[in-house]
Amino acid sequence: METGPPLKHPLTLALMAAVILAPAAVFAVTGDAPQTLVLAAAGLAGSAVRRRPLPRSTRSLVYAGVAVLAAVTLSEMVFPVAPERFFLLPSHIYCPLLILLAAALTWLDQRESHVSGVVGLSLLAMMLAGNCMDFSTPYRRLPIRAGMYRHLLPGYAGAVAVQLGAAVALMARAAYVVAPAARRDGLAGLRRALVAGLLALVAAGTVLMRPLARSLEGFYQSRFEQFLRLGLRPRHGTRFAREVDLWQPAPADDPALGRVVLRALSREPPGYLRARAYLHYNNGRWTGPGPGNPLPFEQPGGHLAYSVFRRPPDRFGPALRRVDIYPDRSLRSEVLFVPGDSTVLELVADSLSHNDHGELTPEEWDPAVGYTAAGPETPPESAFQGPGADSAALAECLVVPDALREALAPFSAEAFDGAAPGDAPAALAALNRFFGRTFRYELGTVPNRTGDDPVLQFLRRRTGHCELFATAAVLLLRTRGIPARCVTGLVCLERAARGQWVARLADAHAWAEAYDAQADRWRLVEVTPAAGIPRGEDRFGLLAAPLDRFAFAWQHVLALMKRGTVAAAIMALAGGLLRGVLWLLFSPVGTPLTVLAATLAFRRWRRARASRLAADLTAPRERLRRVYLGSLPALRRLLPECPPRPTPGFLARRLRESFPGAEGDPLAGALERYQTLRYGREPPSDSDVRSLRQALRAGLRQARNSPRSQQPAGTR
Amino acid sequence: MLWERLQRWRRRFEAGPEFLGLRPWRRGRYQSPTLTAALWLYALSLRHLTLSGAMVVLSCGLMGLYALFLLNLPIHVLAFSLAGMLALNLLAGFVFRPRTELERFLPERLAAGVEQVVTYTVRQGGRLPVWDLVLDPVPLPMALSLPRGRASAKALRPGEAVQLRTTVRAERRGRFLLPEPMAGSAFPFYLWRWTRPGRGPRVVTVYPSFTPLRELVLPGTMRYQAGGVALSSSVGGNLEFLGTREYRSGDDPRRLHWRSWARTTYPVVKEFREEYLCRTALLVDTARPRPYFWDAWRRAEDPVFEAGLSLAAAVAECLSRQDYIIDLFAAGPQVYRFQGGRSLGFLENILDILACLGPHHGEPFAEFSGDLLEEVARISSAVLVLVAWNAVRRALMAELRAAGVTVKAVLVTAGAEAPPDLPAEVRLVPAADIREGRCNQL
Repeated sequence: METGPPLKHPLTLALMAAVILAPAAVFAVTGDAPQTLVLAAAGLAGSAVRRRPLPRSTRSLVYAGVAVLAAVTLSEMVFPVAPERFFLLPSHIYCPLLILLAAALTWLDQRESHVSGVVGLSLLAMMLAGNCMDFSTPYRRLPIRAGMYRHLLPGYAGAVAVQLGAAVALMARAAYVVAPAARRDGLAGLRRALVAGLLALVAAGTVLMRPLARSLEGFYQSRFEQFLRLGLRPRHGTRFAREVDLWQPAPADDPALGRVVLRALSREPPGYLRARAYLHYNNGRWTGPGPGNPLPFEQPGGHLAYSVFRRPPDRFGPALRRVDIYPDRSLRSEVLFVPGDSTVLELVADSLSHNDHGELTPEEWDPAVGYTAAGPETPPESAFQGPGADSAALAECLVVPDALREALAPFSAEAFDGAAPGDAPAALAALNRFFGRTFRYELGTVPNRTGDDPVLQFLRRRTGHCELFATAAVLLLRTRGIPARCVTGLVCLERAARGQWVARLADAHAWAEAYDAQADRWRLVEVTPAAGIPRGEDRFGLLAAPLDRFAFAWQHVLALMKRGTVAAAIMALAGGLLRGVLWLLFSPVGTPLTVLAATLAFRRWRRARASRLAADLTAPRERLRRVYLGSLPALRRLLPECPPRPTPGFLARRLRESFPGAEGDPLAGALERYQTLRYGREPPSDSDVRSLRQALRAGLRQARNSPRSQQPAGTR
Repeated sequence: MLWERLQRWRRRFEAGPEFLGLRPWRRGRYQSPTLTAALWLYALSLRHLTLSGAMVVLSCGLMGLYALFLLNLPIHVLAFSLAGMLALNLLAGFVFRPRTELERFLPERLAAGVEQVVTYTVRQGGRLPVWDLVLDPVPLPMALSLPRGRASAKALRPGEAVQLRTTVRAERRGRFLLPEPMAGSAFPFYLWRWTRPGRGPRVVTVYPSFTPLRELVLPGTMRYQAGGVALSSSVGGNLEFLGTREYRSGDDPRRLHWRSWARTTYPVVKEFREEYLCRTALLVDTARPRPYFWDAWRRAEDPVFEAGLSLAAAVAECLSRQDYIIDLFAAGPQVYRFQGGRSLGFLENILDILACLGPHHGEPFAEFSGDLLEEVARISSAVLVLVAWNAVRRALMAELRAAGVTVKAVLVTAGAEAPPDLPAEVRLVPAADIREGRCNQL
C-alpha cells in the first residue's frame, strides 16, 4: 500500500485556482499582460494533473522558487509590461511573481500553511494588480480601448468578490485537510445562511466605508508625508495657489474635492472667507500684490500665548462678531481666510502683514492653533473697507490689458446697457442681469489654447466656472471705469453641528469686488450663477459626522490650551463631553450603540453578580440574608444609635438592653436564630426562612407597639 | 479596589502568556516590559489569529495604508472588504464562540517517534451552536506533532457532547510544557479565532527511543550493601533471618517472636541481616563539544549524544528485567544520581532522567564529587555509556577496576573508526547502529 501525503482534493484545488486566477485576470487587464494569466492557468493545470503532491522539502521549495523566477524573468523579457501603468510600486514585476508563487504552492500538499500561503500571496497580488492609474498607454495585446477607466472599479470589485468568496471556502476547508471532520447536516443550512448574510454585510460595509475613507484620506496623506516626506499626491489639489490660471480647466468630478479643508466656530455661518486678491491680469493669468506691511499688535499678557493684530478701525462699529477658524493641515496657504470685514485678528504668530487689498500674510504661525477673526456685529453690504479715493491701490484696479480693451468693448456695452456712467450700484445690478440672463455655469470647460484670451472665449461661449465669471466681471467693470479686483477664498456655509461650520475643497470659490466710491467701500460682486456657488448642503455621512465633530472638538480644546485660554478650554471640553453624551443618548447612531453597550454591561454585571453570589452563599442562605437585610431599616429605626454595620448578635444584645422582657425578647431571639441559620453548618430550609421572616415581623411589631419605643432613644 | 485590580493585571502581565507555556525573558531581577509585551502580542496572535488571518491582517494593514492615501486606486475595495471581513469575524465569531467544557486526556509519558492517542471530551454549553470547532488550535512545541491533524468537529449543538481523538508524536526526547487545552472556532471567515480553555495535563515527558537489548553480559559479583533492600525497594524484597534476642526498648513490636516469648516468658524479637545484592552503576557520559551557533540556534539533535542516551535507556530496561539494583549517575547540565531496582516502577524514573539530560560542554565526570565516586566503587559492577574517550575516562575505568568493580564500557561514536588509544575492553558502537536498532546485545 502506498504511503505518503493524501492526494490533492479537487475541490480545494479548484478553490485555490479561483483565488489565484482572480488577480491574474485583473493584472492581465490593468497591465496588458495576458501571459501571466496563461502561465498561472498552466501551472494550475499541471498541479491538477499531478494529484500526488510534491514532498515538502527544501529541494521542492528551491526548485519551485527557481522555476517561478525563471518564468517571471522570461515573461518579462518576451512580453514586457509597461511600468508606467502602475503607481509607485513596481507591480509589473511583483504581481506575476506572487501569482506564480501561489500557483507553485498548489503543487505541494494542501495543509493549512500552504493554503494560507496561497491566500496571502493572492491577496497581495490582487492589491498590486489594482495599483493601476494610467489608462492612456495603448493596449498592444488585449483588444481594450482607451477610456475603460470607468469600468475598472466594478470589474475589480467583481474579481475581489470572487477571490474572497473562494478564499473563505478555502480557509473553511483548511482545518480538515488532514482528517475530515464528522458531518453535521442539521446545522449546515443555518451555517450557509449565516455566512452568506455576513458576506453580504461585508459587501455593504465596503460600499459604505468609501465616503468615510474619503474624509480620512487627507489626514492619512498629511501624516504619511510628515513621516516619510514623500509627496504621493500632486500638491496643487490642496495648495491654495498664488495665481489664477484660466488656461487650466477646473476639475469636474474629483472625489478629493469633498475633503474638509477649514472649520469655523461662530453663531452665524461665516460665509465668504477672503484669502487672495488679484489685480494684474495678463493672458489668462491673474497675479496678486505683495504681502504689504506688518500690522500693529499687542500681547494680552498673562498666560495667553496669542497676539492681537488690528486693522484700521471700521466705521461700522466695534468688532463683536467673532469667528474661530481652524484651517486643516492638508490645506497649505500662505494667507489667512477671514471674513472681509474683519478688523481684529488673534493668532499665534510673529507678525501679520496686511496689504491694501485685504490679504493677510502671517509669519511663523501655528496653523494648528487656528485664529480668531472679529468684525462688526452686523455685516455691512460690503466685502472690505475702502482704501480711500486717492489711494494708488485703486489705480491698479482699473488696468485692462490693451489686447483686451477693444475686444471687451461690445460685451461691456451689452452688460451695462441702461446703467448711467459713474453709478456703481446701477452698473453692478446691470452686470448681474447680464450674467444671469444667458450665462451657464459648467465645470471642466477647456479653453482653446490656440485661440483668444480665455476670458474672451468664455464671453463668447457663455459657459464656464467661477474664475471665468469673476474675471469677466472684473474686466468689464474696469472697462466701465469702476475699480475692481478678483478675489479667491472659501465659502463656508456647511453646518457640521450647532455653531460649527466647515468648508471643503469644493467650496473654493472666486468672486469679484468692485469699489463703490460713494460709500468708500469694496462691494462683493457675485455674478456666478447659483449652480456654481457653494450652497453649504450637508455632505457628512452618518458615521463621519460624529467622528468629525469629535476630532474638531478635540482640536478646538487643544488649540485653546495652546493659546493659553485654559478656562475656555475646560468649558469647551465640558461642552464637547455634554454633546457627546447627548449624541450617545439621542442620535440615530448613538442611541442603538448606547443601548447595546448598556445591555451588554447589564448582562455582564448580572452574570458577575450571580457568580459572586454563587461563590459566596448558597441560595437558601441568600434568601435568609435578604430577609434579614429587609428588616434592618426597621431595626435601625428602633435602635437609632447602632453603628453603621451592626451584627445580628449586637442588635440582639441592644434590643434586650433597650426593650427588656417580653417587648424585645422575641425580636432578639429571631435575630439570634438568624445568626444560627446563617452561619450554621447546614443550609437553612425554605420553612426556616419563612419562619424567620414571620418571627422578625412579629418581633418588630411587638417592639414597635411597646411603650418604650415611643420614648426618645437616649431615655430608654 | 482599582489599585488591587491594576496590581493583579500587572502581575499577570509580568507572568507572561502562561496559557502558551511561555515565560518572559529575565536577566537577574530585570524583566523588560517591551519584550514581555511583544511576547504577549505573539502569544495572543497565535491564540486568536489563524494562519490565513495573520496573513490577511498583515496584507490588509499594508493595503489599507496604501489604499487610504489614494482612493482613486481600486485597491481600497479589497482593503475595505478584508477589514470588513475581519471585523465581522470578530463580532459574529464572538456571538457563536465556543462555550465548551473541554478535557484533554494525554499520556504523561511518551516514547520518541511513537504515535500516542490523545482523547478529548468536549461539550458545548450555552444556547447557541458552534461551528468549525478545532481543539488545541495553538501550535504545540516544535518536537511534538499531530500526524493526523487536530481533532475537530464541524458543528456542535448546544448541550451536545462528543469525544474526539487524534494522535500525537514526539520527534525527540525531552520534557515539554504543552499549551493549555483549548477549543477554538474561527467561524465564519476563518480569520479570527475565539477560544475557550479546558482542563488536562500540560507536561509531557518524552523518553528516548531505544531498542530493547536481548542480552547484556555483565559478569558481576554479589557484595554486601549497607542499607540493602530497605534502600533499594520495598516491593518484593525480604531480609535474611539471623536469630532472636531479648526485647529491648525501642524495638519494633512487629518483630516480636511470639513463640519464643511464650516459651521464655519474656519478650523476644527476631533479628535480620541485610541480603547480599547485585548492584550496578549506570554511568552516562554527556560530554559533547559546544555546537556551532547555527546548530545551537535551531537546536539540532546531536546524533551521538542521543544514541548514547538510547543505549543507556536500553541498558536500564534490560537490567530492570533482572534482579538488579541500578544506580544511575549522569551529569548534564545538573548532576543526577538515582537508585532503583527490584520493582516495576523505577524504570520510568530512570527514563524521566534520561529524557531531561542535556549535553555537557565541559567535563561531566568532573562534576562528580569524591564521595559519589567512592560510592560507585562500592558497587558490584558498572556500565559506562561513553560518548567520548580521553584520559579522564581511562583513569575512571582504572579507578573502578582497582576498587573491584567489574566495568563494562561502551563508546558511542559518530563513525565506525575507534580512537587510537581505545582499550580492547571498551566496545565501540556507531551511533547509527543504535538509532537504527542494530545494537541489540552488549
